[in-house]
Amino acid sequence: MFHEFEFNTPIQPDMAERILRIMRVRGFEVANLQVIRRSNCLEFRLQGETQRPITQLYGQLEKVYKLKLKSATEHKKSQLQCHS
Amino acid sequence: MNGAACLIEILNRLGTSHIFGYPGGAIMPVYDALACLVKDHKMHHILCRHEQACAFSAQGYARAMGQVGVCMATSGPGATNLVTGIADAHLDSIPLLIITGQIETGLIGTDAFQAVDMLGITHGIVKHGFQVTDINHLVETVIEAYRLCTSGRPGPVLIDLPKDIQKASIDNFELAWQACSEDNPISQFTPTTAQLAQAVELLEQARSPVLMAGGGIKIANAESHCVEFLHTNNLPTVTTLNCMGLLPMHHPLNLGMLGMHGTAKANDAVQAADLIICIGARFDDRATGRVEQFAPKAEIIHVDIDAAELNKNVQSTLGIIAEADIFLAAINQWQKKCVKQYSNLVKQCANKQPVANDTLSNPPASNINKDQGPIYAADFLRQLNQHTDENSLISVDVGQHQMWVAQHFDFSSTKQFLSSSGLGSMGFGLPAAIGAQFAQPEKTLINITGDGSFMMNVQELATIKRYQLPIKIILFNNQHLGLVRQQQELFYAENYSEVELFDNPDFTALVRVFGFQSETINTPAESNPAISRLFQQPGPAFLEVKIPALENVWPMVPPGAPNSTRLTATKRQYDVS
Ligand SMILES: Cc1ncc(C[n+]2csc(CCOP(=O)(O)OP(=O)(O)O)c2C)c(N)n1
Repeated sequence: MFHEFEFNTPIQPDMAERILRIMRVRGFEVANLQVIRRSNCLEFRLQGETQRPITQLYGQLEKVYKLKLKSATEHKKSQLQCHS
Repeated sequence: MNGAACLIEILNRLGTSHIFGYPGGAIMPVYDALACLVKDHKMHHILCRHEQACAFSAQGYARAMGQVGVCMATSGPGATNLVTGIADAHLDSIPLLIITGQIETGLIGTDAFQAVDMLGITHGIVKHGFQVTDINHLVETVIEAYRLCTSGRPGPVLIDLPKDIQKASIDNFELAWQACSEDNPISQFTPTTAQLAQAVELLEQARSPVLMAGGGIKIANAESHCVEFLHTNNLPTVTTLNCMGLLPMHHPLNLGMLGMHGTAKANDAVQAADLIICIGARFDDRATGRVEQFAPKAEIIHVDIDAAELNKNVQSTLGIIAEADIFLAAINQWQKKCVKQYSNLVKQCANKQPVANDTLSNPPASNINKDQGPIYAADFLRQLNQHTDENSLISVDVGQHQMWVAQHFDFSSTKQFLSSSGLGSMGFGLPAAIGAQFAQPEKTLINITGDGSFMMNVQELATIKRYQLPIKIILFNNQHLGLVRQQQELFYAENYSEVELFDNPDFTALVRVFGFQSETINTPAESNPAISRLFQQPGPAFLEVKIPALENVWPMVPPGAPNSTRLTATKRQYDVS
C-alpha cells in the first residue's frame, strides 16, 4: 500500500532527516520524496510504502515540531509523479 | 550580556532553580555566567559525577516536582553520556530540558575535538531539538524549548548551543524577552459531548468493565478525578507501573498492576473484561502481553493526550484525545448530570477481596516471623511499609527488586514511586533519588536497588556526600543480575550466561568510604531493627539486605505470551502453542 502526504515545515536543516527517520522507525519505506524550499517554509510531498495503516505514520508526523499536514491519502499503487 | 548569561537569566526567569550538570570545554561560557547566580543563591547547580546521572537527577527532580528538570553538559562525551537519561525521559514522558555545549559554528562539520552531532543523535528521543546558530534567535528558542517540555504530552527538549553563540553579545535582551515571554496559551484537548455520551453508553452496556490507569493520570494530576470516576462506577481498576499508588493496596477496587509481573487478579480481570477504559497508557507490550490476545472480549475506550497513541497498539472502539484530568472531570460532571443513567452502572465487582490477600496467585515464600532462614524481599518490603508513610518517596532501579517493590510496597500516592518504566534503565534509582531530594527536601528519599543496578551509577555516592543528602539506600543483594538470571532459568534451560555477581565488592565497606552509616543483614530477625536504624540516622545511610540468590518474581507472563499465561513458583512450564 502507498500512502501520500503533503505538509509544510519550518526551514530547518534537519527536517528531511527527521521525517525520514520517523518513516523508517514506523515501518514505512520511502517510495518518493520531494522537498521544495519556499520563502518561509519547506514544502514536502512524500510517498511511503508499507503494510501498516496510514495512521501509524500520520500520527507521528503530526507530532513533528511545527509540521503542518495538508493532506494524507492512501493508494493501492504508486501515483506520485516526479517533477523535473 | 552574552548568550551564556542570557540563557541562565531566561532559565532563572522561567522558574528554574536547580541545574544538574557537568562542565567542560564547549560549555565554559555558560558555567562562567552561572557562577554569579550560584554565588547569589539565585540558582543551584548540582555537580553530579557522571552526565548520565545529571540527566537522571534532573528527571528525578522533574518527577518529584511536576516541573521541568534541567540538565547540562559539554559537547562530545559529555553530551553522549546524557543520552540514556534523555531516552528515559522520552519513554516516560518527563519534562526535561537538556542543554549541551557545542563546538563553534564555524567548526561544525570539520570533525573538530569533542564534536558530535547531538541533534542527529537525539532525533528519536526528544520532542524536539534546537541548535542555535544565530544569537538573535537565542531568547525565543530557550523560551520555546522550555514551554515545549510541558505542553501537550511532556517530554525532553534539547538545546545545542555552540560556543561562539554562548560568547556572542546580545543587545536587546529585555525587548526580546518581552516579545517572547508573553503568555502563549497552550491549547487543551477536551472530549466532545458525543464522546462523553458514547463512553457512558459503553459503560452502561458493559457487564464486566475494567479501568486501566496509566502514567498519564499521574502526569495530569488527575488522581482525585480518577478515584471519583471509579467509585461512581464501581470499577475494578488495574494500573500500569507508572500509576502505582492510585488506590491503596487494600482498596476493594484495586486489582493491582497488570502485565508481565502483574497480579493474577489484574490480568484475569482484563482478559475477561467486556470493556476496558484505558486512561493515559500506551498499551506497551510489558502491560498487554501478546497484544493480539489482549482483552480479547473487550471493547476499548482509550483516552490519551497524544493522538498518535490511539489505535497504535490496540484498536479502540472509542478513542478520545484529551488530558486525563480534563476527560475525567468532564465525564464525572456528565454522569452527575445524568443521575438516572448510572443507577444501572453500579457493576457487580467480582473481585472485592483486597488485593493484598491474593497479590500473587500463590503467595511468595515467607519467613516473616522467623529468626532464621533467608530474608525474602517480599517480607522485607512488607516490614518497610510499617516504617514509611506518604512522606516517603521510593526510587527504584531495574530488575527483580523493582518488580517486588511494585508488588509489595503499599504506596499511598502515585507520586511516591520513581521508576524508569518505559526504558527500564539500570542506574536510574540513585541519581533520581538525588534529584527528587532536591525537589522535596522535607521528604524521605529511599532508593531500593539491586547489586547490579547500584554499580551502574555508584559514583553518585559522592554527590550525596557533597550535598549531605539524607537519602536511604536499600540494596537487595542476590549476587546476580536477578531478572536476567530468572529469564535464563525459565526460558533458556538454566543456561546461565554472565549473570553471576559472586565477586561483588564489599558494599558496606564501599559505602563507608563516603562516610555514610552502612550495614548488612542476613536474617529475618534483623530486618525490623535495621530498618529502624536506617531511618533514625539523620544523614545518608545504607542497608544491604542479603536475599536468596535464586529467588524469582512470581507470577510471570513469559515474554511474547498472552497475559492469560501465568507461570508461578509451582507451575514453571508453559505451553508455547
Ligand atoms: C542499562 C541496562 N542494562 C541492561 C539491562 C538489562 N537488565 C534488566 S534487569 C537486569 C538485572 C538487574 O540486576 P540487579 O540490579 O542486581 O537487580 P535484580 O534483578 O537482581 O533485582 C538487567 C541486566 C537494563 N535494564 N538496563
